[in-house]
Amino acid sequence: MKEYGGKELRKKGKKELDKISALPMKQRLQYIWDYYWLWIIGIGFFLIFGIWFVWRSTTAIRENWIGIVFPNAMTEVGNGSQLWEEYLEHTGYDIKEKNVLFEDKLYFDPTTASGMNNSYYQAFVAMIETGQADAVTMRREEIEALGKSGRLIDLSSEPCRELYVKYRDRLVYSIPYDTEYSTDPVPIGIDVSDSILMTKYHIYENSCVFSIGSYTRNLEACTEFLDWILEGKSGSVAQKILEAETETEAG
Amino acid sequence: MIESAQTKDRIRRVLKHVFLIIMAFIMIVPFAWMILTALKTNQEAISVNPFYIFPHNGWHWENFGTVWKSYNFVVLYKNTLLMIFFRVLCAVLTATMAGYAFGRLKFRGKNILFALVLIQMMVPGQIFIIPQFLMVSKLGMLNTTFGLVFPGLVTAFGTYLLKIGYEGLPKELEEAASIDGCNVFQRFSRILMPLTKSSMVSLGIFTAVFAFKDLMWPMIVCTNADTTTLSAGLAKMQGQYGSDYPAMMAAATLAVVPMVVIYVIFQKQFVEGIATSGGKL
Repeated sequence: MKEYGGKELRKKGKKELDKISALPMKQRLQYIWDYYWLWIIGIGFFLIFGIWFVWRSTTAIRENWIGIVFPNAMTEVGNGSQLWEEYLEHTGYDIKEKNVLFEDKLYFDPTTASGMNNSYYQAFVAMIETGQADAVTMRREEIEALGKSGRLIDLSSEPCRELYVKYRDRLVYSIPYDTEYSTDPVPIGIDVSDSILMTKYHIYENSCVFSIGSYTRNLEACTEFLDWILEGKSGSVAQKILEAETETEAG
Repeated sequence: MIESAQTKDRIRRVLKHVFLIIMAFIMIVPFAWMILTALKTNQEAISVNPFYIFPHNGWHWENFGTVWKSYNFVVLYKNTLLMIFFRVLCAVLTATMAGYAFGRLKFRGKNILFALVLIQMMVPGQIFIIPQFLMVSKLGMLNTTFGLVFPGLVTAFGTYLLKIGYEGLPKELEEAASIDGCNVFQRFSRILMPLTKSSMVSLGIFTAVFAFKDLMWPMIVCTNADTTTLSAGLAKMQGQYGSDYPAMMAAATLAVVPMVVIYVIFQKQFVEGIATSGGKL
């Protein structure tokens, strides 16, 4: 059985070169294209792809300053929204260095089994479990249901001690499915119903709870975000909006 | 006697046609409803009167313009078509080579490796989401076409389908090619691969349809509006236009256009594909 080795390839290459060397340039190019067009396209594609792949892998922004998901949000609070811009202005985060991800296009109901049986919930789980999303805000009963899964951080745990003490009068509890972990209610959220998320952006009705994902890598940024929304340290963008609203009302 | 047999045959044929017409009607109704709702006002769309089928206050073609403007459909079409193209290309390319190796070549550990392929088919795709996401994320490929294509680079189903295709071809063909001096790659690419064209087309169609319908992966991997696909864009629109049914239906109508065009072009292959693989799309 005849197989190609390096020697065979060289021999074939030489034979082909001999064949085309006598031809004028135009016919030579025509011959190469006619017989090797697939190889030219294939190698060209892989070369371009390889260069792009290396460039992208080395220059892409992989990390997040913070990633927050706002499932079932009633107003636009995703990337590019006023809330997002205001937050960037407040923190001074450079998004060329790391991303700030606000995702508001997820819709599911964790209070019922059927409400979680959709792609939005699976996308949410993937985002939380991979650490792409550091925190989540939802209505109180939704967070209580979500907290049972163990995907939200236990605020009484050591890394969250500061938060636990600072916001102990706002804690929201949930009994986990994992009875080995605890049979008592575990603090998994902080009630932020009186924060700018509700008072200014009206993203939910009735209640709003902020929770941190168990797999977060940006606990400090989550704490800062929480302080910011609760203490209303809104930046100049928010100030302008509020001033405009006040003027309109007065007018 | 003959007349009664003819009458029975005629009745059977009429019943068969009536049944087929009813089934066709059931299949068409959702599409017709989608298009008609896209042309109504919101008030007409949410009317509970079941006989309120056609728009009464004029045909509101502007609904299409509204969603076209608010969502960049050109970008959504481009991203979707690129994803479909590369997923089909990668799936067919890798599955045809792996199928040939499993179907025709003898090598150590072949059965174990093929068992691994089969195991991948047996477990739900959702369990691969997190590892795949982490891989794409670590490579810095989030919000790229490569990120969208990534889960479709290789296909267990395609490998299985093509393996069966290669196994069904007579050994004499390969033997004759060997005698004529073909090496393994030439036997594969010039003799056997062209004979599995129908399996490759089936795989291409399956891959295209599943890529088009894929919702979860684009939602996770492409969070930017300018890198997402039609399915994910439409799903996100569901929240934004949750109560504006005409806008949602106009967007859904626009979203199915590429698939309808692909179906019209490859109608024959679609039917052959279903017959070859015995699957449903």
